[in-house]
Amino acid sequence: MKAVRILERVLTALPMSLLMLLLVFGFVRLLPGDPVDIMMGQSGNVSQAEIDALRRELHLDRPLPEQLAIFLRGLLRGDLGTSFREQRPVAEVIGDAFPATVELALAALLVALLIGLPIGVLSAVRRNSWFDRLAMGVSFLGISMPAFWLGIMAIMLFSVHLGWTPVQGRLSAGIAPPDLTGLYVLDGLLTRDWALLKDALLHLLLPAVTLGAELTAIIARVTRSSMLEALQMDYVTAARARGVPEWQVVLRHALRNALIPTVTVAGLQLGVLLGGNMIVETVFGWPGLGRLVVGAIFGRDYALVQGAVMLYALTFLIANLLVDILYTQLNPKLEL
Amino acid sequence: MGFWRRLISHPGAVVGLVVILLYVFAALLAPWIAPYGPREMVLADRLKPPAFLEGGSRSHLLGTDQLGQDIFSRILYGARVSLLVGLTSVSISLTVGTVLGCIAGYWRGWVDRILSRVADLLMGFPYLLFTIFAMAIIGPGFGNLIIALCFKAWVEFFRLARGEMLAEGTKEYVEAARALGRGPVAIIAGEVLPNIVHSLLVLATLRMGYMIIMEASLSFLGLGIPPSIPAWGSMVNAGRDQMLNAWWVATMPGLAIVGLVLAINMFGEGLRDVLDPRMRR
Repeated sequence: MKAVRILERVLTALPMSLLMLLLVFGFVRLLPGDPVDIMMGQSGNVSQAEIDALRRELHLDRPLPEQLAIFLRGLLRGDLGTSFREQRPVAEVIGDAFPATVELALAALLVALLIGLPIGVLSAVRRNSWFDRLAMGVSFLGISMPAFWLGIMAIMLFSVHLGWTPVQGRLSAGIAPPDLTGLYVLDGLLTRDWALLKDALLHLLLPAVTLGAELTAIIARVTRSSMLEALQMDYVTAARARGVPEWQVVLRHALRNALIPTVTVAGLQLGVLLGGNMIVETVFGWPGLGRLVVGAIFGRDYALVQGAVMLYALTFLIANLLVDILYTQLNPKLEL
Repeated sequence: MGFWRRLISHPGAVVGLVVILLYVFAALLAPWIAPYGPREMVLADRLKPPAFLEGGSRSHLLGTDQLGQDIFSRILYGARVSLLVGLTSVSISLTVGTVLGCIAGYWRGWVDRILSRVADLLMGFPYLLFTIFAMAIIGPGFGNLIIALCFKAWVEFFRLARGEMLAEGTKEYVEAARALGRGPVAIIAGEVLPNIVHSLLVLATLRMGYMIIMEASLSFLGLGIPPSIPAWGSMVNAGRDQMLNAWWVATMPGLAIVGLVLAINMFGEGLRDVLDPRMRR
C-alpha cells in the first residue's frame, strides 16, 4: 500500500518537472543578447557565412517550437546539447561540476545536523539555562549573517591569519584525484589514499561550515521547539513514570517524535544548499555548478544554463519528494 | 493589555526596534552625519586602519578602503540602499501575495488551481538562482533589482494569505456577511483581512532581513546595485582583495549588515510573540 502511494507521489511530480522544463526553456530564450554575437565577439572578425553556419549548428535559425522539439528529443537520449563557451557536451561540463556541488552540500548538511541537533536537544532539556540562552543567541546570529561575509571572515581568520586551511579550491596542486565518484573525500576513503583524504577535508572544511551555518542555526531552533513540545507529551510522562532513565526518555521517546520537523527542514534545505551555493562557491573558488551557472547566464550559454537549471529544479523536486517519503516513515500515522 | 504595551514590554522587540530606528536615522541623515561624501576619494589616505587601531585616526573612524574612501561614511550611505530595497521589495511581495492569496482562497476553483500551480512551480527554483536569472533577463538597475527580488518572494505571502482565507472563509462571520448581501471585496477587505493581517505582518518583518541579505549577496556578486551607489554587499566584495593587509575593508560593511538583519529579526520575533500567540513557543 505504502509503495503504491510513493509511486503515486512520484508520478504527480512528473508533470511538474515537465512544466519546469518548459519554463526554463522559455526563460533562457528571454535572455537579452544573441548568443552567436557573444560567441563570435570573442573570436574577432568573422564572416557572415560563419555566423550563419554557427546559427544553423546550434539550431538557432529554427522557429522556437522546433527548437523545443529538438531539445526535448535530445533530452530523451540524454543529450543536453553543446556548451557554446566550453565547446563540450553540456552533460560532460555539468558532470564535472556537479560532484563538487553535491560534496559541498552534503558536507554542509552533515555539519548542520552534527552541530544543530545536539544543541537543539540540549537547549530543550536545559530550557532557560545559560547554555540555552547562549545557544539560541548564537543561532539567531547564524540566521542573520550573510554567507559571503561569514566565508570571507573565515578565510581571513583561518586561512590568511592562522594558516590552518587552504584559501581556495578543492585540492592542492600536485594531488590528483582518482576517477571514481568525484566526491574527493569519499574517493580518498575508498582508495585509502590518506593524503588525498586529508587534503580534500581541509579544503572542504571552511566552505562546508560557511554553507551549513544558517542551516545549523535553523536545525537547532526547530529541534529545540519540537523537543520542548515532545517533552510535555503524555507518553514521555508515562515513560518517566515507568522508571525509564531520563537519557532514554529524551533520546528514545521524545527525540524520535521531535525529529519529524527537523527532518522536514533539513530535507527542504538540502535543495536550498544545492541551489543557493553560488555565493559560497564564489567566495571559496569551489569549482561547482553554482559558479558555472552564473557564468553561463551572463555568457548566454543557452544549453549550459538550460541543463544546469533543470538539474537544480530536478534536485529540488527530488529533495521535496524524499522529505515527503521520510516524513511518512517517521510518522506512520500520516499518509502521503 | 494593548498592543503597544505588550510590544514595549518585550525586550527583544524593543532592542530590535531601537537599532532599526538608529539605522533609519543614519540613512536619512547620512549627508549631514557622514564626515565624507560616499564617493570622496583621498588617495593619500588609502587603506588607513580604523581609529581604534594603531595608525588609525579620528578623521576615519572605521578606516578607509583601497581608493581612500571613508568606510564609515559609505556604510551610512549604504544603509539607504539596504533599507530601501528591503522595504520596497517586501511591501510589493506582501501586497501582490496577499491580493492573489485572498482571491485564490475566496473563490477557489480554477483561479486557485492556476495560481497555486504557478506558486508551486516558482518554489521549485532556488531563490538566488531565480533572482540572478531574472536580473539577467530584465537587466541591471535599482528598480529592476527590486522587481527581480519580488518575482518569487510573493509566493510565501500568497500561500499564507490563501491558507488563512480558506480557513476563515468557512467561519460564521463570513457566512453572515454573505447573507447580508455584502460583496466579495467588502468581505475580504472589511471582514477577513483584519483577522489575518497579523500573521502577514509578522512574515513580512521576518522576510525583510532575508531580502536585505539577498540584495547584499547580489551586490556582492556584482549583479545588484550599480557600482556608482555605495552598497554594503559590493563594499564587502571590494574588501576581498585587501584580506591580507586591510581586514577592516571587508569586515565593517558586513558588520553593518549583520547588525541590521539581527535587529529586524529580533523585532520580527517580538512582533510574532505579541501579535500571533498561536505561534509562540
